[in-house]
Amino acid sequence: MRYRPSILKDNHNISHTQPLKEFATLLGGILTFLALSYIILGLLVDLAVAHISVAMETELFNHTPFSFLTIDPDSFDPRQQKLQQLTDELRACLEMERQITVHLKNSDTVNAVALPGGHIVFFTGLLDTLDSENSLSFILGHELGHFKNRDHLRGLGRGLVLMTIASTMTGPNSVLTKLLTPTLQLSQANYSQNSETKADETGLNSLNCYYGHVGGATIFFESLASQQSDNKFRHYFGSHPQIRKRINAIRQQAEKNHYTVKKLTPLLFSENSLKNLYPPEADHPP
Amino acid sequence: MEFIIFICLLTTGYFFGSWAEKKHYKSIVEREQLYLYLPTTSSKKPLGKLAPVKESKLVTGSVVVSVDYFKRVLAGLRSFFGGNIASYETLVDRARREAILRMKESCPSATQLINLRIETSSIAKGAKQQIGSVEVLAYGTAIYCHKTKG
Repeated sequence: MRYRPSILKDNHNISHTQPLKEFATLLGGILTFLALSYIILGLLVDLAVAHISVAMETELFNHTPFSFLTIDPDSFDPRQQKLQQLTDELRACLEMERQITVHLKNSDTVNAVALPGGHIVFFTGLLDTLDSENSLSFILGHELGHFKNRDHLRGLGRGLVLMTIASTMTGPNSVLTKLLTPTLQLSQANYSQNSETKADETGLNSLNCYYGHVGGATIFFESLASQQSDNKFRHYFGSHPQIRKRINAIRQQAEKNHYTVKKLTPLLFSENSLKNLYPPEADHPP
Repeated sequence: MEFIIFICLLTTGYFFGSWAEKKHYKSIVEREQLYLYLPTTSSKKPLGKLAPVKESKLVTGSVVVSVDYFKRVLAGLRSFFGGNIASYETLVDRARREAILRMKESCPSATQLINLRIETSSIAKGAKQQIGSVEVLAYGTAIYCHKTKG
């Protein structure tokens, strides 16, 4: 037997592939898989949301520690009582049986959010920009609309699905999971434009039912539209896009239902009304 | 922020990894050419007719090679779908050839190298979040013959 030394010409022991091409293909495949799972599971969540009863929702979410709800009892704001009262009356108007609790949270954030478990968190930043009770009622009615249409569960559900997929595939502390977790941040609950429009409709109906007219419905949005560049309002724009479109949609809806506009009711706890509620003597003892 | 770090690691891994691999392959090919004169087989008996054997001894060559971050991520992605982990194939191939070369380098004046065996083991086996590296050990018997006249 002859021994013939030779040099390796074609290395058969390795695959001659382009690593970057392989990386792109694999990543594309995984992203497609994630996207498909997200869509399919998202649809399943939509189905599930329709079947989650109020009792079940309360059971599920009442133990969830929403940071918004840990309100310091010392900093109790007397305006909360008024908000709750208004919400209850609007709720009766909308024939909503479930109990909704309003929490007034001291924060510069110009926003109000509907949370699972029947909670509305109203930020003082938003309350301070309102100058009529009608505008306030419209926003409360809008949030009640989210409960009525069950958007508060839907928005949470999709975020949950995405995070669950990521944490199952890559582990709870992976980069991917951490990247996706912010979608669960409730203050930025992102509802689709369609759900916003529907919630606006509910808000408008509740306004008309309670006051007999829909004056004040768009005042808040108009002031927003004129202050779009203001950083303070960015929060509200994050989840409530295309303000102009919304104002027009609300107006069209009002016209369609032949709703009228009458004189606005002043906000009861504006400076003057607060004086009536809490006489100056109480604040400044003689 | 973590995403930026991840992208940086990936890019660094890719460029440095490719550069190191290219350089390593170049050196392997050059040295293989250089040691072509030394017959190396896995046979238990020497090839051909040998002059009287002066000496024979066990020679070894071992190497530890680590995979770069890009390849590790690529292999991780591959594990979702299955198939050849091409990014690890070059790693093991380089380690194997380098180990044999180091073994040959330890006995440049041998007449023949017989009974070549290769063993591999992975370092940090099973430990997560560690750089995957592989050790390859090549060993064989180096035979030294008396020089024949003519």
